[in-house]
Amino acid sequence: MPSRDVRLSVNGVSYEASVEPRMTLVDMLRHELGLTGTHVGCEHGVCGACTVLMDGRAVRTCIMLAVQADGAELMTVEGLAKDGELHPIQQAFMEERGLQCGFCTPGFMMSIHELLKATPDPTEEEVKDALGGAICRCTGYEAILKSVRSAAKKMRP
Amino acid sequence: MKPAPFDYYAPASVAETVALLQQHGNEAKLLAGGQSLVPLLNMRLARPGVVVDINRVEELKYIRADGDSLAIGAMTNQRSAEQSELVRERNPLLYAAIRLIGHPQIRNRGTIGGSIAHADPAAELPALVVVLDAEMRIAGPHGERTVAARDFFVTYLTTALAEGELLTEVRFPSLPAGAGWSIQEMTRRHGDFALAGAIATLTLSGDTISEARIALFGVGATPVRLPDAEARLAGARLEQALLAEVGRAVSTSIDEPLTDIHATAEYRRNLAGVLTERALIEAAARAA
Amino acid sequence: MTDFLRSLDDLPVTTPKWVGKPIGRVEDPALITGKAEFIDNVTLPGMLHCAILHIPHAHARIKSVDVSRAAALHGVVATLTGEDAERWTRKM
Repeated sequence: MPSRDVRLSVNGVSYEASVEPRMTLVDMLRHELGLTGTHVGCEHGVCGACTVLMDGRAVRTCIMLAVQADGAELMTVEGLAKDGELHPIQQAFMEERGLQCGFCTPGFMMSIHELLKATPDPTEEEVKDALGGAICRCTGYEAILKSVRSAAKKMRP
Repeated sequence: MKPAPFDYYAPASVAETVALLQQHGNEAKLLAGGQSLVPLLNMRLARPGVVVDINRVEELKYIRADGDSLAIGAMTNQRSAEQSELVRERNPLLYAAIRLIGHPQIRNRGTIGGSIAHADPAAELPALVVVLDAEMRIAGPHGERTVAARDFFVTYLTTALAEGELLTEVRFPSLPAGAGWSIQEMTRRHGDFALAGAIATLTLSGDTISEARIALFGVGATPVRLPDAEARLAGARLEQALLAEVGRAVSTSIDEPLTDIHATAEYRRNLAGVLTERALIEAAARAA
Repeated sequence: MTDFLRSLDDLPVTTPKWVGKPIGRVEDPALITGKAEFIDNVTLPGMLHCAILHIPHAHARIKSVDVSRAAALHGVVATLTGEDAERWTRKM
């Protein structure tokens, strides 16, 4: 099938791309739009490295087709920092050593963003429930949990 | 691991969808939440010539009270259902079952209808509709029809949906007044597919069980209702020993559970019995 | 002998610049903003993608490999088999 036009907004910026229907959303973000902060880990929806926010909801972009994002508003890791100032979640990850190789980190941060927006003071259970679908091979997760607690504290008024 | 090429359509209505399915016959595959289908496309385990994406069919996204039941449009995503006050009030068992599906990110895209139409033997919702005697509304080239849950699941990943048809709505009857309920599953990690699971509902009249319903998932090609166990429990006095006995009987009665890389048939048998007992105990505790 | 070192108390004391202090990692700013260049991000002019086909049979002896249909596919620039690898390498 010939390419289809996709118009979407990512981190507040409008983009237009022409893609084959079979191109996944993560591949469009990375290769067509040059937003390589979102990563491909497993390509079948189990590792969470490809997680972005679509219309405010955390979704796995490796198991979405790019054409499905037509008309949507996305937020990726590149959209967390504002005017060069890091988002509290990013700040927390750096301070609490929530990352080592950094490959899984963007995916985790986007899910955390969704969590903290809906639940500014989550319980341990709620945090683990929100992040249970993402895999990290480096940190052993404790530092990630600490980062979430720290981010939540920073973000609460 | 990229999908093989396919033609793609994104209809905006049920009518348009049915027309597309008719036009493309068995070359066409419906794309709902994509949480099961797109991994298959990525790994080329599925290579449909045509993908019909029904995420823009807004008319299939709703949650309505309908008499005693909840009518949920097939394209309602699981997260919306989970966060719906109506679902929590009207059918806490449905709420609990949805909460066990994967992870929030999966539920943000996965749909109520999609999970049921996909009919994975280890999934929660197919077993739930079987235990509740829910109804599936279907649209197709010959119009609309309704299929009861007990007739809907044919075998592994196969339902009563004929070529050209799509699931439009699922009607979940409410639990009887005062009924207790429970859903138990065993997963290696939270969010994994269940090795096996049991759903039970129980109504009590004093110390006597008036009605019990049990359905298992992960132990056969389709969800399994347990009429023998249900009959054993109906009218019986609620006692721990009875529930244990039913659990043991369930273990021996299951036909050919699967042996796969996750668990042996023997383990699943044992698990089914244990989970049945636990589900009955919890349902009894919740019963008014 | 010089009075080189009478006791440890005579050692000059400095305030450590790095020892005992928490150090921020230099790679974190790039990683945390998604700007880090992981290998899969790299695109070079004329870059090709490689797909590896594993034989589905364990302990099998490969009698022959027919790449003609793969080579004819649209977009396929080259195919490589064990024979090619053998030609380009020295046996150990």
